[in-house]
Parts: sequence; structure tokens; C-alpha cells
Amino acid sequence: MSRAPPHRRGDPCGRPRAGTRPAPIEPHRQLRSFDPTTLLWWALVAILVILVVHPLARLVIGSLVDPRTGAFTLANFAAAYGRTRYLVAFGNSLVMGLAVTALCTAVAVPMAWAVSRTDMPGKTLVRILTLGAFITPPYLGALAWILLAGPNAGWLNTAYRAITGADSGLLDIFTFPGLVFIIAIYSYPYLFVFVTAALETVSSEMEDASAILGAAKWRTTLHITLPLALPAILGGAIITFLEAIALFGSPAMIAIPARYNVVTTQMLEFFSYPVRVEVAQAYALPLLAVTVALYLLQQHLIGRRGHVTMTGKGGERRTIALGRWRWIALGGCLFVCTLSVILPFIVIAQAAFAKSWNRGFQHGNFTLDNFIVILFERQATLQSMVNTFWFAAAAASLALGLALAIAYIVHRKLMPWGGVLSFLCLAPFVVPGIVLAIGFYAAYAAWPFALYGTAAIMILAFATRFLPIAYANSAAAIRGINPEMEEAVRILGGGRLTAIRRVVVPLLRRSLIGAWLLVFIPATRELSTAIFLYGPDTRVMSVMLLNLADEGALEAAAALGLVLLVAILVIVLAGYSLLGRDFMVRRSE
Amino acid sequence: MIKLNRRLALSALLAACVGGSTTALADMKALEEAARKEGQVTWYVASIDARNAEAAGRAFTAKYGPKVNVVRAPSQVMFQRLTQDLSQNARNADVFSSVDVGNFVTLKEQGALMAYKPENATRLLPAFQGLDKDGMFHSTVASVIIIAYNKEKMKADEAPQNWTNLLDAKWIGKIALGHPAFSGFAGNWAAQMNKLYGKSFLQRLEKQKPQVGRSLFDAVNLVSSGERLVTAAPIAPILENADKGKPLAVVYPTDGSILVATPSAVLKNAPHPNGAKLFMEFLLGPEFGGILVKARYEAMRADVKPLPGAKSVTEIKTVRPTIEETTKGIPQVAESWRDVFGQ
Repeated sequence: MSRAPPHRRGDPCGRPRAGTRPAPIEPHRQLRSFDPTTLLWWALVAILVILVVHPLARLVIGSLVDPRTGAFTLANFAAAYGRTRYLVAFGNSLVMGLAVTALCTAVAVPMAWAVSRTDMPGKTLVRILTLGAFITPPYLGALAWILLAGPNAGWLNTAYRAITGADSGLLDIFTFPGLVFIIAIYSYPYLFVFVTAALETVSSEMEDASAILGAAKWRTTLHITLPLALPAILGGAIITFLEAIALFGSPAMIAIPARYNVVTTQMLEFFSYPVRVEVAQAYALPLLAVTVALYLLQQHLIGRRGHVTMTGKGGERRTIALGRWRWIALGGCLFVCTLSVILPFIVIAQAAFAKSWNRGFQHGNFTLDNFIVILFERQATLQSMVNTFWFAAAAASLALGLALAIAYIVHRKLMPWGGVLSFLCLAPFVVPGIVLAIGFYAAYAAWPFALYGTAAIMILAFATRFLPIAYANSAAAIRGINPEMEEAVRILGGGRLTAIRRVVVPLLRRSLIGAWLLVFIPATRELSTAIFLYGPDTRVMSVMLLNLADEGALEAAAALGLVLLVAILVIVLAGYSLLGRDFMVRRSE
Repeated sequence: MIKLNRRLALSALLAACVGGSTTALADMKALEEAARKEGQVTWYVASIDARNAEAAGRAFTAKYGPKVNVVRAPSQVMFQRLTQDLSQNARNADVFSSVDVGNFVTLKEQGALMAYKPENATRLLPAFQGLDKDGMFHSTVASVIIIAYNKEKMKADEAPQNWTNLLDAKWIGKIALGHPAFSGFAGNWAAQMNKLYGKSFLQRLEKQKPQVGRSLFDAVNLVSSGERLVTAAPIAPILENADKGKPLAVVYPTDGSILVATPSAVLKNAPHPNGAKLFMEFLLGPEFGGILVKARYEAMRADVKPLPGAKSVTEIKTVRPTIEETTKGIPQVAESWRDVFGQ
């Protein structure tokens, strides 16, 4: 979820246009009229160094240094890659990522096509359910699928045995295909969003041209429509791959019982006693290299835009009549949504109110006990709820404030080197959450910062992790404001800050609320950064949920998950009513 | 007021120097008073599940006042947290309770434990006394590892009768276990299997395709839900869940149940030293003993009576791992487990 939003706006790269170099400012002019933004500029640089530069630098330096002597060494890399098991984990992650990407592409591209280009009924429903898959925390989905497809007692297997009379179940979630499936059904929305956005810009005229030349409908779709969407498909596929290999929660719940080690679970092993942060740092760097390389490739693919589809001529977009196939298309889409949203939501809601999850809706199985446990008996869970929302709110406010200030400076060209600032804001985008957490741990846990186990380190890490989302949205919003309005204020004698306070902020209010929510929502469910940084007083709901599931308290875990899910749904609905239908999934301009 | 504080400080100092064996009732009162002033205790606990741990915390709060901040995870996860805290000089934990006695040996070597000899330690049954010769850690929770099965899905005579029965082909895909690199009970069990039946036991166990969870409580849940049929687990959660109507039954393996007495200790740099000491007394006292037997752990004091239905450890054949076996055995077996099982 965290990676997609920066790509939403009109600028497909989600970054400021590279060609806009700031105009040189003559030094004597700067001195003559001292502008408070200079101070602000330095403050922003300092904050970015704290949030982005220092943790990532520590990651690289730490991997090359012996923690006892401080001397340069390659021993950490030898330790990180010197055992077959560790190498296998790396290979497994790559295979898993590829399999997830292939599955997502196979599912999301036809769905996106059906929703954006055909007369399939129920399009809104499919969009809403896909949004549901998008906001469901992947680890909660994994929990639901443990209840659905546990090899023996899972709901689907019990039903299968009851219907067919077979001895053994049909599905086993604790396998490699199970892991791929569980990640894919919560990752396909990325591709769906990318590809629908791209297909919606393809004008029917191009397809008509193909039809006039005698091509059949299917041939047109395969040879004209899909190639036009290819950059978006590849871009979305790469984001899907990056998301999949960076996930921690689902592998922790599925891969350990499936005995399938991946990079993120291996990182956890380096953090078991005795903690070897330096080895974890060395182990993380190739993962970072892979993500950076793929991200650059994705930018290249999306940025190139080989075909002119935006003609500015208001090309007509007609839907393709599918005939009776439209019901089959709808069936296919709903099948996917059933797997990712409908079944999991039902099973989570059932388990949350059940004495035993596996006794289904039997009479006498209903109880409120699980909620009593998480709300009253366990102080830790209640505290984790409070922590979750205030950390997320603080992180969203911090990230948005910072992003907005930098976006303003960059786009009004107030200071030199704006490009560097915007690059730093977007850099965390390529850093997997778990790697970012290790960087933060190395940088701030110990003396002199001593932030280990504090709320501050959690908030700072969350803010950094979602800074790219905040920045991409702020930059897009600022771009939409004509500077003449601020200039009017200044001509009338108002300072820069007055202009910002009285003109810019009021104009941006709506987009700012949207951007704030887009950071707040993923921050409430963030697990991979939290897992290495939490302390006894700073546990969040995602961490508690994993603990409960680990302990086999699946009903209590489901109850906590339901609370989280309902909270996220309420926030999303509030966003909808404030900001309109498209605030989460798509904001094509 | 000042006078009172000085007296408190003096008596606390006295208690720390002289140790628990001579702590008189008056000193206990002073300790309670000082603990109340500190207001809270943080308990890093692995040896019992979170629900019982929170119940114990509430009982402590009801009796003495200070709030108990329960942090519960499997033994090695909790130990990792603690050592990470120590390396960052973060004073979080007051009292540490883990299943792996090796954790305490390591902490003691690092000088991380407080030499506090609780008054109540002398009231333990003789079998559980004197775990550490310097009295830095004490047995607070005990349970025997047995074989448990789902009695709805199979009959009693079909259940495995000893540990090596688990290696029969008929249990392929039917066993649930805890991971010895996370769970302390699983570590004790795997280390004993390794010792009794050699390295091939793990390799043959891997062929059984057991489902391995991070915590043994997860394995218990897997068997009670019918996801798997048999497990090697501490008897306490099995009987506790059976008491609640879950379809679980116990086999005492003929080659010996494994008796594990799990320790607790006060941390030297405990942020609430008086609360920590008082909580340590509580863990060795009759109220906590009552919570434990209700949760079907062993009775460790003469004045705590077990619930009916479980055999006493004196009636069954038990194997009890020594401190040395556990300290060396668990890390070894966890590492070979990861190599054999691939995770």
C-alpha cells in the first residue's frame, strides 16, 4: 500500500519534474532582503538528514565496520552470505516475488481491462471490493486464510471433506503456493490501479482504427489496447514485486510453519540472541540494491511513454460490449474479490465473536469474551490501540508538514538545490520497511540519541517510511496553485509566511486532508518497521496481533484485527464523504 | 515524612544487603510501601501465556497496588528483547521469567541479575529449591512436557505412547510442535530428544512434516482445533484447555515426561527495584501458586493444592534436564533444527 500512492497523480513518476532547475539566486540580493524561509530551509535540511540520510548512511557504514573495534571489515558480508541457509532465503524471496508478480498480473490486468473498457456490470462493486483488498492489512488476511485453509481444520477444507467425503483437505496454506497466494490477493490492487488508470486514457479511436482494418475484437484488445498499457503493467508489476519481497507479516505467519525461509524472516533471525545488527545490515544491502535497481527500471519504463495516447483531442472512450461474456467477467472479478475480501472478512468477524473459530456459526459458539480480553483483560492490547492511532497521527502530521514545506520551496524555486530535497523526500520509497527499521535502530537506538523503545523512534520511522506518499501528494497539490495569488499578497505588503497562511493553506485544505489520510491509514497498520523498534510501552496493534497469533490465541487476534479493520474502514469512509469517491484509489486529472 | 523516607531507604538497603532469608515481616511491609511509591513493575514473561500472565498482574495490583506491565513472548524472543535492552542501557524490565534456564546462566555471567534472595524461596517444595547456588534465579513455574492428542479425532489406544512413536509413518502431517529457537519448552523438549535418541531423531522428525509454530501455545491450539492431532507440549495448557471443554487428552510417555522448572529473576538495573523484589516474592507466593494450579501448572509449595485430575510428578516417570544440559543443549539443537528444517 505504501508504495503505490506516489504514482497516482498526473506526473507518472511521482516526482518533481527533473528539468526544473532552480533559478540561481544572487547572494547580495539574498542578504539585502532576509527571508525567514532561509532558516526554514536549513531546518528542513536538518530534518531530512535526521530522517533519511543518517539512518541509510548508518546502514551502509555499519555493514562495513566491526562493531567491537570500529575497523573496516568485510566479515559481516561473509557472515551474512556465508551459509547456505541464508543464501537460500535470498533465493526464496526472489522466487516468491516473481511468483506473486506473475499471479497478480494474471489476475489484475484482465480485471482492470474489464472494469475500465467493457460493459461488465457491477464495476463499482468490483472497484469497492478491490479497495477493500487494498486497505486490508496483509497479516490480517494471512490470519483469515489460516482459518480458511489450514490443511485439516480450515473452513474450506472442512467443507470440502463434508461435501466429498474425502479423507484429507484440498488446500494447505502452509506451503510455498499458499504463501504466494496469500501475498498475491492483497498485492493485486497495485497493478489494478496502475492498469485501469492507463486503460482509461486509451482512446477508442485507436481501437476503431484496428477494427476498420479488419481486426477482430480480441485481436484489437491483444495487439492495440494491451500494448498501449504495457508500460503501466510493467511498472505495476515491479511495484508488486518490491512489495512482495519486503513483506514481513505474512511470511512470519505462513513461512515459518511452511518451513520456507525468506529474507525478512532471516533478518529476524539475525535479530535473535545474540543480536547481530551488523550482519543484518550487510544482509540488507543487496536487498536494497535490488529494490533501487528495479525502481529505476520502473521509472524508466513508466517515464518513457512510448506511445502517444493523450492527444488532447478528447478522444471518445466507448465501452466494449462483451455480450454474455460480461457475466463471466463479473463472475471472475467477484471470485477474486471473494478470496481477498469477502471470505476473509466473514471468517475474521466470525472468529472474533466465537469461543472456537473452527466451530463455525454453531449455536452456543457466540461470545463477547474475545473483546473483553483485548479491551479489558490485557492492558497491553488496549494500550497498543492508543499507541497505534497517536503514532500514526503524529507520523502523518510530521510527514505532511515536512513534505508540504519542501514541495512549496521546490515548486516556488525559493532556494537552490530544491531537487536534492525532493530526491531525499522520495528516497525512502525504495527502502523496504524492515531495512529502514534496521537503519533507524543502528542510528538512534543507542547513545547519544537513546531513542530505543521510545514513541519518538516509532513516529520518526513511520514518518520517514511514508514521507514519499506525503511528498508526492503535496507536490501535486502545490503544482495546482498559480503563484500569482501569492504574489498578490506580497504586492500588497504581506510576507511569504502570510501568503502561505492566508492563501496557500486554505486553498490546499482538501488535498491536505486527503494526503494526511493517505499517510495515516498505512501507518495504522504498519508492521515491518514496528517489529524491530517497539518497546514494552510502544507496542502497536500490528505487533500485538502477531503476538496473539503466535500464541495461538486466534480468536483474540481476530477480535483485535476486526477493531483495526473497522477503524480503517471508518476513516476511509470519512475520507470519502469529505473528499469524494476517488480519494484513495485514483486521482486521474 | 522525611524520617519515614529515610527509614524506608534504610530498610530497603538492608533488605538488599542482608538478603531475603532474614527479611522480617517489618521489612516486607517497608518493601511493599516502597514498591507502591514506584507505582509499577514491568514483567518480561515467557513461561506462561499472556492471559494468565495478565491475570497474575491484576492479582498483584489488587494486593499491593503497583500496576504490572506484562510483556509476553516466547522465551528466546523475550530473552533477545532483554539482551537488546541491556546492550542499549534501556532500563525496561524489572523481572524476567523465561523457560530456558540457559538464559539466566548467561545473564548471571554478564552480571545483569540482582542478588536478591526472596523470603518466599525458602517455602518452595524441596524439589524446586536451590536452582542457582548464588540464589540469583529461582524456580517460579513448572510443568511436565507430555504427549497430547485430540480426543475427538482419535481414540486413546491409537495415541502414541512414547516419544519415538511420534516417528511412526502414521503421524506424517499430523504433528504440531513449537520451534526450539523461539519456544523455551520446545527447546527443552528438542534438547532432551537429541540427548536421548541422538541426532537422527531430528532428521526423522523432519520427515514427519510437523507444523512448527513459534510458540508451543500455538501447537496446543492447532491440536485442539483439529488442525493437527498430536503434540509434545507442557501439560498445563493442555489440561487448562481441556477444563474449558476443548477436546484434548494427555499421554504420559513411557520413556519419561520431561519436567521443566522455569526460573524468574530480578534484573540488576531494574527501573523499579522495590516493585521488582516484591513481584519476585509474589511469584513465589501462594496467590500466584493458586493462579498457576488453576492454569494446571505444578504446585510448587506445600500450601498450594493441585486441582484433581492430573497426576503428580511423583506418580509418573520424569526426566529432568540439568542446567548444564539446557544451557548447552538448547542453542545447539535450535541451530541444527534450523539446518534440518530449513527454517
